[in-house]
Amino acid sequence: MSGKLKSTFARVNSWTIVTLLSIILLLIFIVYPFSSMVIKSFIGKEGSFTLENYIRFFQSNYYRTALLNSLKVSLSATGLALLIGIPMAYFTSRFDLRGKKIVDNMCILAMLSPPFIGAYSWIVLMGRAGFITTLVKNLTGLDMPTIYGFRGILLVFTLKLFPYVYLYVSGALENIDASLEECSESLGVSGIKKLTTVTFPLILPTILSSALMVFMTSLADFGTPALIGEGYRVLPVSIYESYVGEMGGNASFANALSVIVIFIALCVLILQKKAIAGRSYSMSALRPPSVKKLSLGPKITASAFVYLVAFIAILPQITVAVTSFINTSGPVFLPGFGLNSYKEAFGKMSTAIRNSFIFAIIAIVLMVLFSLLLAYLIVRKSCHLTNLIDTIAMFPYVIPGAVIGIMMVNSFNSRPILLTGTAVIMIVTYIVRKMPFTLRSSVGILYQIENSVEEASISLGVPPMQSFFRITARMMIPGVVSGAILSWIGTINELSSSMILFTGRTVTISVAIYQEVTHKAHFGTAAALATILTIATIFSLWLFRKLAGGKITM
Amino acid sequence: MSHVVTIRDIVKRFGDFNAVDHINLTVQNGEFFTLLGPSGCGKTTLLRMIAGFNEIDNGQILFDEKQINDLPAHKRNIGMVFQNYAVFPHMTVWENVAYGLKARNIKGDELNARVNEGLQAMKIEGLKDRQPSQLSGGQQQRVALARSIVIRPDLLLMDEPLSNLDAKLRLEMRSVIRKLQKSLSTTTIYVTHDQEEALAISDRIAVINAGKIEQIDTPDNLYNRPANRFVAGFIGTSNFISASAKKGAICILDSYVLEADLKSGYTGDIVICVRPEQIQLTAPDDSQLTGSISTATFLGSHYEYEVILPNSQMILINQYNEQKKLRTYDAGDQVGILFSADHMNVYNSDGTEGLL
Repeated sequence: MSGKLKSTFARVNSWTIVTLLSIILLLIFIVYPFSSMVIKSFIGKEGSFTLENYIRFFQSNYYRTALLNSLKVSLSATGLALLIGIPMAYFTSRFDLRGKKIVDNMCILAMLSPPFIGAYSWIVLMGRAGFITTLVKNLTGLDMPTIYGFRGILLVFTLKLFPYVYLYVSGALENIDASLEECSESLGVSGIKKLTTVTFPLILPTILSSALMVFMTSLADFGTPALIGEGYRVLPVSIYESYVGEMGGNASFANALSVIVIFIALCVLILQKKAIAGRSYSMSALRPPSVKKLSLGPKITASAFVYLVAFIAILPQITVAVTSFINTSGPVFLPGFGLNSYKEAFGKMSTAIRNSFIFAIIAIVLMVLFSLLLAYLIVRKSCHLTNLIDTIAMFPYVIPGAVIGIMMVNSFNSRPILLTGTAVIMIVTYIVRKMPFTLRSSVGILYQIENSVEEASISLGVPPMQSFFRITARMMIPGVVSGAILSWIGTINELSSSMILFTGRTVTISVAIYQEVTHKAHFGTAAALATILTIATIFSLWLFRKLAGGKITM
Repeated sequence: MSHVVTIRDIVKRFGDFNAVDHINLTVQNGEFFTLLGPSGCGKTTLLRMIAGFNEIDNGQILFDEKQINDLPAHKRNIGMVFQNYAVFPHMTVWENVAYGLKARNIKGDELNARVNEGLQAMKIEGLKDRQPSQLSGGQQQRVALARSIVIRPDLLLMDEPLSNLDAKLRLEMRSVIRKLQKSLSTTTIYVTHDQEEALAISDRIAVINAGKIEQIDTPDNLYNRPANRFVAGFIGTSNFISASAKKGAICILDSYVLEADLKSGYTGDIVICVRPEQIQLTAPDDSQLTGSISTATFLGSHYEYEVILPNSQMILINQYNEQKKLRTYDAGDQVGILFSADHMNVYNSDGTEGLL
């Protein structure tokens, strides 16, 4: 018996400690905040158990409408993004259109900045005093249809999110080995029939994954409907408002709303997983699919469609960049160009700029570190416990930012862990919220690395944890980066959770832009800040690619 | 400092399944010892237990007198070579070979000298600045070998090191490994599923099946005196023919009688085993046992005949024909079949026990 005990102790190595630490961190920063939110949603004003928060939700027309609107706008955006993204991907990858790389880059550029900047740009273009609105009015005397409300939100979501569909689907289309489609043709199935029976089913899992991404992002986004929605209520805005309204109270109604949103997101996630189950085919094309030559007419039509969409998608970026150089006075654009907006931005907003970068850099470093370690536990030490760790770490993927923000404030606003108002709570929230991307890419790459390389290092005398960092982690980096880019872009642009968590000392660029637009209508400063953000993101994307040795794609 | 490795009653369980099932064996100091068996037999699992990568559920592993069950893998001073080479892809050849030495705090001139020694032993001095991605499979395996010997391991473990190489390189590397091991005289345990490779390279071989040892012996004895029907079938090609044993004689298909004394005067149903090259073909009248040729295949050094016996069983017969003295046969020919009791192995009817 003592021999057995002794050997159990001998097996306690550094990975056991990592496992324990991960469990403790996940319990503190994910499980505890989430469960306390769920529990509080069932607690009434007197502190006893109650369903009143949920009853209030379902009885109130106001909130029911918000729920229906949220679903309506998210589903419509998903449908439209698919309708635009799939044909675009098909045209550029299967026809000999010029400049696929340019279209790709335009789409990546469109994804780089957060949706609310898109919303704000479309207001600048087509809002009540927008450039296009004014131009059309002056030229024709006609009033443009309003951009505010459902239409505006849908426009922004679609243009912001179809690039996900486009990039995912064109990747999948290029990974179908030519022989599969040739085989279909040699069996006498070609044209549309081939598309629907071979090509489409093969890329269906990819389509569904990108659709999930679009849906989740639309459902959770706070900034866009807050800016351009005006009277059109959706859940994230309701959550934010009821949270702000309940401030100081127990925020139990905001908690209930949050639980409902998470529930919906989880249902959609499960549905998507069910739809994909057993249908994902791992493919890598030995021979890339053939590119079809088009005759001039169709070629021009297809090119026009592709370039027009890509152009409209980056129009917000262009608008922001251009307006950042226009002289302004408050909300009013003055004639002439200059750097006044930048002076303003760097002068008054230097704290926000510094915070954004410091928080995001600390967060991404920790995210990569945790993802490497967690991926190792999940892949190499696979068991029920590590599967559970995986599920918990991925769970925040379905939680909207505002909800995570509320969770964190609720949980860490008193001793022993008093974090509210600090930079720590911002960074922790970013890590919890954006790590799933890095974790997934880490797990993916680790499955492709054979264990024997690390074992070789161990048998050469290097202890397990050192072997991991010197060999396995090094080999993982190029694969990890593709997810880390998404985490990084998400972190540096994060608005919804920051809106709940920030204080004067911890304000970030995104929050500053939002405030400039909504509270002060300082469009110039906002544009300058947004441009700084975009340039920083592009630069970091370039840096990441360097880091990965040019081996990564989005 | 090389070890005697003693494996005592070792068990590895995966759920209810015993991947390694109470194995006992001793590998002598300096010996080239091979674990041979079909895939899934537990040979790699056993090797990984010795390396320290699989936990031991029962039993003991001793290096000389010292039990190492709980010694972490990185403290065992073992050189290990893997099937997929496991060369560190982000390091040059030189850095790969130096890796284990640096972990032992060897620096400066000694480091250089020992790395160069290893590179020279494997004839890859010219590749020292290359990245692994620029190397062929054979070259990568040489790097892996150099890397594992420069640390002067007490034990070398090799897990199917040749199976990713093409046929020609496999033969070349086989002899490289054999010579290297003899020159170092480091105790070596080698895992393979390729019986020909095992015969060629080993001092002794343990044939493993379903987690248990079937036989431990020299290559010569394994081939000529397989302990049971499994070993006879797994090593080389064998013809198994049902027969019956009477006192002092064996009667095959009621016609062919050979004199033989079986263990403890065994009588009853038996199985005899004869290798294809130990059977002669003659004219039908010259033997009590006849058959008809069903297929004749020319294989360069010899003809391989498929011959149908009177009981419809098919056997293989190889006729080596160096001086073109032997007659060749065509499909349909009737032939006589001859072999001697010396070249035969005899097993009980279920093949589990040798009766000679």
